[in-house]
Amino acid sequence: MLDHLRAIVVVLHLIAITAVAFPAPVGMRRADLDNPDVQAAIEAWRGVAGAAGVAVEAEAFREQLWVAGSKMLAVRTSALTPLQPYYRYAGTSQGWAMFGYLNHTPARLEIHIDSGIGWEPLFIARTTAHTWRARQLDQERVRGLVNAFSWRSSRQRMRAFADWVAVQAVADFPAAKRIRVQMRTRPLPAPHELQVSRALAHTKTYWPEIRELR
Amino acid sequence: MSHWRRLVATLAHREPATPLALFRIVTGLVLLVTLTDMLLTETLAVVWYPIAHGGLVDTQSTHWLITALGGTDPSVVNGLVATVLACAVLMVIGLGSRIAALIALQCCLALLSLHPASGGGHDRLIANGLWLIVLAPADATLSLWSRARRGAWVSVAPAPAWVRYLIVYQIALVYTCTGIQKLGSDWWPWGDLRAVYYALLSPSWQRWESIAWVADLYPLTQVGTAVTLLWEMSWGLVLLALWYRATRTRSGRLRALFNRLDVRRLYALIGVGVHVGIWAMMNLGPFSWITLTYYLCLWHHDEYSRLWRRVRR
Repeated sequence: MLDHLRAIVVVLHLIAITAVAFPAPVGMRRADLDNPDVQAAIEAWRGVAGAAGVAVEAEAFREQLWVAGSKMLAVRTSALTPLQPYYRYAGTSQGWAMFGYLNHTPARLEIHIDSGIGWEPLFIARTTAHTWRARQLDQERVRGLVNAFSWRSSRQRMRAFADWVAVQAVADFPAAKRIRVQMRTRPLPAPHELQVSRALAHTKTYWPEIRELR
Repeated sequence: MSHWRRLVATLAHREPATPLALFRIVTGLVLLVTLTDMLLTETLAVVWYPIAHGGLVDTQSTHWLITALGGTDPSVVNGLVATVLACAVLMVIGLGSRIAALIALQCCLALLSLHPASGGGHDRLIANGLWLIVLAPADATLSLWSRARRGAWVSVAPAPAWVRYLIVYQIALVYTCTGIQKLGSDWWPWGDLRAVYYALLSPSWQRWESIAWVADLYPLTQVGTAVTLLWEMSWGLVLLALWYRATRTRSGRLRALFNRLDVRRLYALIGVGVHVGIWAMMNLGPFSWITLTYYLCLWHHDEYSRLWRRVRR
């Protein structure tokens, strides 16, 4: 009897973790279809479909993917509803897409301070020259937070992050006037370009957040 | 015998708990190192304290434990962290591991609920691992419990083996699903297999300041991309390999081939290469270590025993 009960529990566990891990476009947003990286990926798969004899117009293909993805998510949500307590209380949630899509124009975090003589770099991510509070800002969990900004996601969190940076700057530089937190794009070069240039270029900035320190 | 009865019989199998004990010990160590790193780098307050107390948490957690303890507050966070550290120590030494893992799991889930954006896949793997330790007789050997109860640190008394099977299934599931979701064209030949090259250049995760030399290794990164994709997507073969190993006395050419090649060892070797490579080049926290911890359950007690004898010789 106990053996049968154990088998039932194990089978239910396997069903639960497999169902929630099953690949699905979780977090899919309509706006993502306008993202050049996403469009390039979809176009590549349309090419594969075309090579297999299934020719579809680009826009129609994207629309079909959107509809199929939406339906898939609806079914997934319904199927997983009764299992949610198991995920919540036993920590059995899944969801794995390590670098499923690569960001071709990622960005790094930059923090500058103005002490009355103009902006000076304080922290430039992944450099050894500007390392203010690097122990914290380089830590993996803070990197995870900033990575969302690199995808131009979580604008509100970026503002909260800038507020936090400002509080730390007041403590460390009481005479400073302003602090600026921003992201600077690093368009990833093709390998042959990088072999020639030997350096990664950092170009446009976005989401500048300036805080008065006094 | 029906499929169900065969499954029941398989899950009733017992074996010495050495792999589970190793899984318990290393999971505890990963937990200790992860939290200690947060304490030493002073990021614990940054990611888990409320804004009013110098952190970045801007909303109240709805996790039942946080609510029960009175809400998001530094003293609550510190208490949870201290509890997890204590439980991790108990897991490492092997004393009340099931209870310790259950408490650590609930505290971890509460902490991670405070700022989900600062987490990663490794948090899930740690939580999954803790739950599996709750289910496992993991302190049956290599533990203080074994020493106190049986008078020896090591015990070869048979314990239920099914949790080891679940641990192996868990890691196979992680890899397979990760592989299937790699739909970005950079992972495929029509995208020139550039995924690993681009991932290494990502400023969010790069470990070293100077990274341009990756371009000189481009062909190697292409091989790495192809191998990673194929290896991840085909992890189901490891489950098949383990099944064939457990039923090696039966006939079949494929079974014989799998056992001769030791497919499991091949996948584990690639995995160690991939994860050590990731660790060397990228800062993804405890991701590599907690993932490799699952590998410990790919081997049976007898194999560890043989290895130990060889090392001591």
